[in-house]
Amino acid sequence: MLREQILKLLSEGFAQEIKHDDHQLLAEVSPERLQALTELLLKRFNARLSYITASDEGVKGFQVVYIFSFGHVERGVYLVAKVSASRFNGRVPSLASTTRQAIWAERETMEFTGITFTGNPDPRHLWLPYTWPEYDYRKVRIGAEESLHAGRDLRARVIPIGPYHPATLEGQYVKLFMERDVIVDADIKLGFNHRGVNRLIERRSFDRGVFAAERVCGICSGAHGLAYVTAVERLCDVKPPERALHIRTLLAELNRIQSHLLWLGVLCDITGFKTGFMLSWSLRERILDIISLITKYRVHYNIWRLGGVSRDIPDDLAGKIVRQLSKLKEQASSLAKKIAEHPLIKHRLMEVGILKFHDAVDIGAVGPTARGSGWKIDVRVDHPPNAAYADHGIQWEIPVYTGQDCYARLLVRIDEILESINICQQILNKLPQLPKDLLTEVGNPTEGSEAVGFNEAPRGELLYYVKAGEEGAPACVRVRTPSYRNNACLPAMLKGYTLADAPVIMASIDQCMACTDRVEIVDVKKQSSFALSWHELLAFSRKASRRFSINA
Amino acid sequence: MLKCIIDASTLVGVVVFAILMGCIYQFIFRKFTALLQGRRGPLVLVYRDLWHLMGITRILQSLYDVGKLLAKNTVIPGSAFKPLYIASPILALVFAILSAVFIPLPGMPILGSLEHSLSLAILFLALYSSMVFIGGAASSSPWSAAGAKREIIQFAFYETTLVLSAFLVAVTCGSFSILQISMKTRSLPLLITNPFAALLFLLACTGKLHIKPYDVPEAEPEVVAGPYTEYGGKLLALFLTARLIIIYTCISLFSTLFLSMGLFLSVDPWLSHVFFSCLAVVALSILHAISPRLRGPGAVAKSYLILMVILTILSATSAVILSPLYTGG
Repeated sequence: MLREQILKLLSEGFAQEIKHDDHQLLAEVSPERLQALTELLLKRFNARLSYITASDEGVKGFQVVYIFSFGHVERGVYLVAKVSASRFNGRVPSLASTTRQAIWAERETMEFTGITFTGNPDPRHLWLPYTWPEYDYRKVRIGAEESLHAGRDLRARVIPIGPYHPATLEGQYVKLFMERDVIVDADIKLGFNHRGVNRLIERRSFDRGVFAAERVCGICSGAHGLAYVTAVERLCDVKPPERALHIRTLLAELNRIQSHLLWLGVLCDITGFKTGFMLSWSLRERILDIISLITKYRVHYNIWRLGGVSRDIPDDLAGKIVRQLSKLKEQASSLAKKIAEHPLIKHRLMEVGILKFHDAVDIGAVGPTARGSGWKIDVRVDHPPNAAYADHGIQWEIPVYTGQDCYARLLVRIDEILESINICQQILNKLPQLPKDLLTEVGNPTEGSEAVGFNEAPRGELLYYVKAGEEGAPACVRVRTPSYRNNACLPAMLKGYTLADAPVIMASIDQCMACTDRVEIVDVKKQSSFALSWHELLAFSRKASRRFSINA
Repeated sequence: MLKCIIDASTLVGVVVFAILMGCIYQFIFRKFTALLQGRRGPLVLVYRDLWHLMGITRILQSLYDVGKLLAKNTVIPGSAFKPLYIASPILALVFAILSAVFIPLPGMPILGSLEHSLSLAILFLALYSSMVFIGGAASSSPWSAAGAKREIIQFAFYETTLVLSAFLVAVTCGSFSILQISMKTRSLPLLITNPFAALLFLLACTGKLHIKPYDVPEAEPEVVAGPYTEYGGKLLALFLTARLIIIYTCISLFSTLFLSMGLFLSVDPWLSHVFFSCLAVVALSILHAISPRLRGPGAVAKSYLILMVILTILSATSAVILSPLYTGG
């Protein structure tokens, strides 16, 4: 229904060329009509602007890709709108005045491709070193500095958090402008972990890209693997066997449980509750043991394959895991209750870091951050990945809290841990009845075809945009991680709170900078940077292992 | 002047004893906290195959930390106010030692027998704490400044609490001499008769020793290491040594004032002193393990104010009622 309405709107002079299948709509849009189209999509169809990126089309220039998601309105529907831009001095109107969801993505695209988004209020670089002369983050602050000076206090104290700081653990630079003890403004700079993983995936064939995708993040590696295979399987129009789909769900949910337990520990650590931190992480170890029983690995599962999975779960192992999970569920429930009901934890999290519902929608919060602000979005329902969820009779509740504060985000994640254990138990009980096939043959996708693979990573909506190139290799791969989106909400969440609240607010969105910054190796002595080839990386790893074994 | 009232060998003996007891108290604190967190904590007996690397025991881990820092170079930030930056840790150590000499030990009154030993011990404890925030402020780092600011706010409250507690004890026993208070309460410990004053004292200790929930000045995720952020090498070693002595002073003062149970339990006074001091450390470690940090200096002030007022009223009432028991009036 919605799909038809969007098609009708597009055909009213907005799109020059429209392609569509069951869920995906592809349209070529003229730059002049882009803003009007976006306004209509957002207002009339309640669309989310999931991502803006650009693909390099060689001599033809760039194609700016706008991914609009309608999954929360009608399941699985999304639109990929494309606008052509010249290779030299390409100009595209900015959508920042229409939606704040566009600001970061436009800044990123401007930095990577040189396209100018006319009208973007914040054209500063996002990824270059923060001392880059064009905009030195330590000195210059366009816009915000003016508003500060025009405001009450000229002596706003600047407290820098990062690039390396005990509160964030990963590289980022958050600049807090303080008036007395209150944060009056905040600015965030990324790029300290930027490794160009997109490019690494583009240099590999489709089937080998999954290994690079898994390495985007060490905590939600499973989520990246699943999102990547979902995107490529959509390109090839392949449906993996039932059993493989169920095993994928099991691992994605185990991934979510361990990630949330890790987060719970980090939150306890930041609030100074070390006991909670130790107990959460010891429980997480049990989940990692289960993952290791299934995949033989703890961090990167190496189980995702195009058209299925590489390992089966024998029936006796499934039974054993079900028993372990029942015990873990009790322990997790009891621990979570102790943490959530601790009066000091409540005091530190309640009414802190409020992200209002309309801000969450406008800036584009995802995952538990959005659900903690009362916005019921979950990719497992909106754009199910190629795994077994509601379509396969798996039942679960999407936890949504309306508190809008850090405590609501804590409750969402606690509920998700228990719901994910519930999903794992359903899957494991179903597995013995499923046929034993694990893989389907996958051919090469048509050159120029494109697809988006969504997945609900532990931190929220994860998106892979893949465009097929020649001879079974991708021409363009783009990754939009959930932390990228949630980090953009941080300044709005920090304003009005104290320095003591800042680490808690930053932790409440479960920041993952490795994901956000997506290896480039920099030789400091030679002042050059290069990427390691697969064989070089392998040799490097073997050398390190040999040295370790000798020392041991 | 100090030489007139205490000889050098006694002073060295007190310093060594205070540092060793500080290490042992910190070991007990870490061990119990670890046990409550499902960890093993510092090892009493190291695995035999690691003896050549780690030694036989890690009970004196805090001392090894100080030793390591003493072997390191000291870096002084260019923007720091050098005289205060260097003087603060040295003076902190001096004041910590001066506070320790007023703690009487069973059979060894040291300076605890002085008429105003309690007031002087508390004065030197306060001077030690002031050196911490002065050092932090002299560092010229935003983190040190933020930490120092937090320390000053907390200082105002825990020092008031400490003074109130000590004053109430003195009023109850009719003396400001630590030794006399200890002698008078040996048959009927103050912990039993006026537990509110003991709680008031423990409340002050948690703030002074930065035990959770009152570790706001050193909250790592918020202000890195607070006043200590820019300190390293030998100067940090001095701060850590001073801290070990302060741990000893606070705990021993608590057990001397409130847990002098030698006569009450008919046990050896030394055994009673050490045992009850360790028990106080265990109580603090439990509090540390079960509490998250308070939300900034505002929450510290609020919680201190509420607890201080309630406990002061209760203990003052007890002091007025119980005073005749100890003063013989």
